[in-house]
Amino acid sequence: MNINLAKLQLVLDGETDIIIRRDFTHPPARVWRALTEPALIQQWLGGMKRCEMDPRPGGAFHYEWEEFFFSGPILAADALHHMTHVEHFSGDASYHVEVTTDLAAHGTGTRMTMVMRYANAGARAAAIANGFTDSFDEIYGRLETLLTAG
Amino acid sequence: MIILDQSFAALADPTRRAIIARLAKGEATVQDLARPFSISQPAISRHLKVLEEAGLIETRIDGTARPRRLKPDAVAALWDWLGQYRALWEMQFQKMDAVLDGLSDESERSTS
Repeated sequence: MNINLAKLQLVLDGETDIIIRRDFTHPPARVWRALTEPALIQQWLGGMKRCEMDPRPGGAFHYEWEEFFFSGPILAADALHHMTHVEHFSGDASYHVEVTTDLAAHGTGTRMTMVMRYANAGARAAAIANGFTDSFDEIYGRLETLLTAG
Repeated sequence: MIILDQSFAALADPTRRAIIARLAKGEATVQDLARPFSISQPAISRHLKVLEEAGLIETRIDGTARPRRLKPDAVAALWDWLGQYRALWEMQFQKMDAVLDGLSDESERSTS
């Protein structure tokens, strides 16, 4: 699989934030649907056994896989353009990430900006290390392919 | 050109990656680390030595205990590698692209 990273930016901001920016070729209304309609979310997140999303202020979401789940309240939502929600990991409220997602029209497509705000620098570092090690087998496999090809 | 440096080589081993994942949750002793694995404490100690030499972890001296922990700099170093991690996000978003591509026809039908 050929990964072109030109459409994706991922940066650390300040002590607690990870910011991801991604461009889509489809307009915000469609991107919003893919982000908020459970039937669509399941298609691209994959392997879920439960998927609920009520994208309204006061609503909540619950994404569950065989061994873990993410859930939390929707703090703010402005349909098609903006949502702020909190993510807890497997019901552990001490794992607290506030995620702000903004969709802006960008040409004929959409520029999505996601800000993930951790409780403190340590929590962000742990999340990075965890995410990294969890996905390392996949990353390593790809690096080996690169190295072999090079 | 990609250089296989010591850290990269150290993380090529799945047990050592599991140890790093455990230490990301907080410091731990050799006994703590050996528990979930079906290998001996000396074997764990050898893995820890490799990780320490690679600069990924450090030892804290606490009386007679010698808990290991991730080096803060190592997390930053991991982040440098996260150019690769970006690729994972991108893969996820490419799946979303495919869902969006599937949606367009349907949307056009419903608006026509």
